[in-house]
Amino acid sequence: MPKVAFDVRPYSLDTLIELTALLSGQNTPEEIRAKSQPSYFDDYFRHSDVKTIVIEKQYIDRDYLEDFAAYYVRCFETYSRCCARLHFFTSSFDKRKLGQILVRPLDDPEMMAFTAGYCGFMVIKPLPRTVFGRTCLRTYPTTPSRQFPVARAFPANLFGIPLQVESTLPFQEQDSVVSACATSALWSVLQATAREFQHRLWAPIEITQAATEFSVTESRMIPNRTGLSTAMMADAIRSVGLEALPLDIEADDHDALRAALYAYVRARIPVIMGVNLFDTCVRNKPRPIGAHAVAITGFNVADRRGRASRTAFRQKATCIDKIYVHDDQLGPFAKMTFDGIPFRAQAGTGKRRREISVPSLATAWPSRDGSRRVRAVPDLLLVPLYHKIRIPYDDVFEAVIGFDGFLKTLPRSPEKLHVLEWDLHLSTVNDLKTDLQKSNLPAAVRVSWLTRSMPKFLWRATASRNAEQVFDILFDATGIHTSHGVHGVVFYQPAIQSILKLIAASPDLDQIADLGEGALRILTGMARTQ
Amino acid sequence: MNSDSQTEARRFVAKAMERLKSAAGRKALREVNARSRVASEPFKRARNISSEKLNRRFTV
Repeated sequence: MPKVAFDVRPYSLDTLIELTALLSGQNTPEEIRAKSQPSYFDDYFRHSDVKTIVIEKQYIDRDYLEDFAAYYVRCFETYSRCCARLHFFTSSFDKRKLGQILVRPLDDPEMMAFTAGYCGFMVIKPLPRTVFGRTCLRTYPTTPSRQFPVARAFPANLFGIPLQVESTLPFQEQDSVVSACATSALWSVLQATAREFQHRLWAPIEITQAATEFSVTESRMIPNRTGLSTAMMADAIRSVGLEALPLDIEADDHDALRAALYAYVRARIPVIMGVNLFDTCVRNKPRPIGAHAVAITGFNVADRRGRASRTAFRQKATCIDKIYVHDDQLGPFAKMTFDGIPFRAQAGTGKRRREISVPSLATAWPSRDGSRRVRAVPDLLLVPLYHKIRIPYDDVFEAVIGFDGFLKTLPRSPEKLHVLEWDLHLSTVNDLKTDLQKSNLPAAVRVSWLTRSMPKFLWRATASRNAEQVFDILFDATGIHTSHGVHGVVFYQPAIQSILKLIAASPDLDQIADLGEGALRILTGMARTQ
Repeated sequence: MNSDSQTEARRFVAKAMERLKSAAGRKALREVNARSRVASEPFKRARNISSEKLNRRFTV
């Protein structure tokens, strides 16, 4: 008589904890309950209306198997090479019902209802404490403001039934042996870039090894108890054939942070963010927790006009009020909020000691007193880039803000060129052409753009007025920085096209001595492109 | 675009060029250029990450 390979249980937090402890074979329910992830998952599952868990008792997980072969197999203690896998459904059914569904045709209405209710899966590793392996759960619903550009459909298979997690990015917690938080964040990021840029997928131990292969370190890297540095993470990114772009973030400049992360995440490139965590549950005495790395997977853009900076440059990215991150100590798509609430901290020593106000993001981390007052101070971003993406964000930003400033010096007109809002992000040619194909451009103009040969990667600066697209300035992201770099300009409004083209072609332009470089560059590009 | 709109556009551009060539226009250009350079600085600085930050470990 074959061993029973699966089970079905109604969902509850207690059941999730009990199953996790039982299937890991290494933990008590109390130990699992004390972790931060179960309550986070419970919030997610209740929000998603999950009703049923299907338990796949014996599951071979590729990433865990690599870690097992490289480390755990050599332990004196016997650890299993097999994991378990939990599948989550929004429909209610029991084991008998599942047995009936399993043998129905794929186009049977009951089978289709079963597959439509699939929320995702979670691998349970047979390890003490660090049990949450590869987890693919669908994102919160996307809206025009809440976007998860990095998420993709992920296939799964349950006893021969093809399933799909509609929109996800794999997540797993660090095991504190072969991986710490940085490896887990990198692992999630590389899951996305492997799809975008076609490179091989590393297991966690392979990431840690690639990150530390050429580092001179003062302590051993496996077991990985001291974490990775930014330089090490950059080495791991390079090991898969990508370029690593570290960006230093000033603690008090959240607009620059928003603009930079939006520029890349909008193009489906997940970004690693380094933060310093502080527990602020005791007033005016923030307790440092440490430096933590998370993978940014999405954002929410609040429904308001881009807040004008000191230059009156209105940018959509500055309206981001939340970001969604894979935080290995919480779960996938965890929210961090730009709530504008600073916390008071002491800086300096001796006579120079003073109180400062530190801008920070709210997190869902639990504080020592059980509240949720752990705050994150962003420190840096690390962007994995395909090697052909050469032109940096600041190059394009400088040109666009210079051009916007130029437009503000023009006389006021009904076209209101002085109140444009900008959406500046990286794009692929395919994404751009998909947008153009759906646009309201005249047919002949659309055909001209759609059939035009264009660089694989472009920086796209979309100018809008009252939420209506006015024009797109396209910069070749694969070009060289000494060229003007403007590949073309797509005009959506004939009146504005007429004005800007006349300005770009005006012989008087040479006589304007103080025309800024950004404006000149874009106007030159407008004059050259058809 | 009809010829009236084209004429309006030409008038506007001519007026704009005259303003930009004037002392007031050039002053306005210098001011926006200076503000734009200041606004671009954080992004330029972001690419010059210190070795201290590069080597700091993420330990949580």
